[in-house]
Amino acid sequence: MTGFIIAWLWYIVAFALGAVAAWLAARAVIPATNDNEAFEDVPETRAIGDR
Amino acid sequence: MKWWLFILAFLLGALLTWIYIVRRATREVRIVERDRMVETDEMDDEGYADDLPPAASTPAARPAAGAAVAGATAGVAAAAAAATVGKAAEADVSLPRSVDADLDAAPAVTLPRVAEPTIAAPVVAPVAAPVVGATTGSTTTDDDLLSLDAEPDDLDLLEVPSAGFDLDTGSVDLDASPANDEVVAPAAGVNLDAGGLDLDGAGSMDLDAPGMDLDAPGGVDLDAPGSPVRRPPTAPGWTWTPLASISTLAASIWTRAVSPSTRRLPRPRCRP
Repeated sequence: MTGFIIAWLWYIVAFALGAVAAWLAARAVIPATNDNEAFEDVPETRAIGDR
Repeated sequence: MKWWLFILAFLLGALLTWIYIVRRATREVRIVERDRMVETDEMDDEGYADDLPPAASTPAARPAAGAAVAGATAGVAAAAAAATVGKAAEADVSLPRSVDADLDAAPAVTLPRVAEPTIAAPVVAPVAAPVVGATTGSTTTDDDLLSLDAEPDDLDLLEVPSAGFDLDTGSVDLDASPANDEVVAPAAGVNLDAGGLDLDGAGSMDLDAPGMDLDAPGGVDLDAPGSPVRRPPTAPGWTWTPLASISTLAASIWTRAVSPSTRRLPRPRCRP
């Protein structure tokens, strides 16, 4: 029983490590942008959102 | 712990996290779009922000933007006029789309009716049937196409002598001597009555012979000397037992009656 729980804990640790890796990859691939850059392609949405 | 399960959990966590991040990034845009569509009462299932052209790229907005820049550098009056035009342009951008579409009306575009293609009549080329004796004329009749009574030369697929198949003659002679080595049957043909299982023969087991007293005390002593049961000729080292006799009978029946190797009939021969 103890071995089963320990194995599951290892699997959960692996899942968390994968999630962290994916999050870091997303941060590296998709650069952070400000509001102006984010609404550059769709300016009409900014005008509507400000109202 | 299994290492492949560890890797699987790692990949699963990475995949789910990536999907969550991407979906959250795309959902933000759609929420903004949804707010606009709720205000303009154009909420549908297929609307996206890309449906509207950008304000700066529309032909009506470009002169307004240019006028705004020129007005800022020219003067107060020009700036006021440009501001007015700019406000008009901005108002145009913020106006909701109002498209009156009569869904019940017939479609304006009417496709031209495609003319039905004319199907040309099939051209039947005359078939040159090999008719024996036909030297002139290309007209053929049904009688000339296939003649079962014609000479065998008309049929290319048949490689038979000139007499053709004579089914009425004795093509299969069961009583004839075998003509090839494949026939295992005796020389007199397949004679199922000769040399078969002769239970009354001298070399066979005599079931009616005295001495088979199963009720006698001590049972049947097959190995006892002076047994009246006549043993069939057996191979050296073969111990005769009733079971062996039965197997011998079965083998004899199989060899002479059932085995396909002995039932092979002589091949039908076509007489020249």
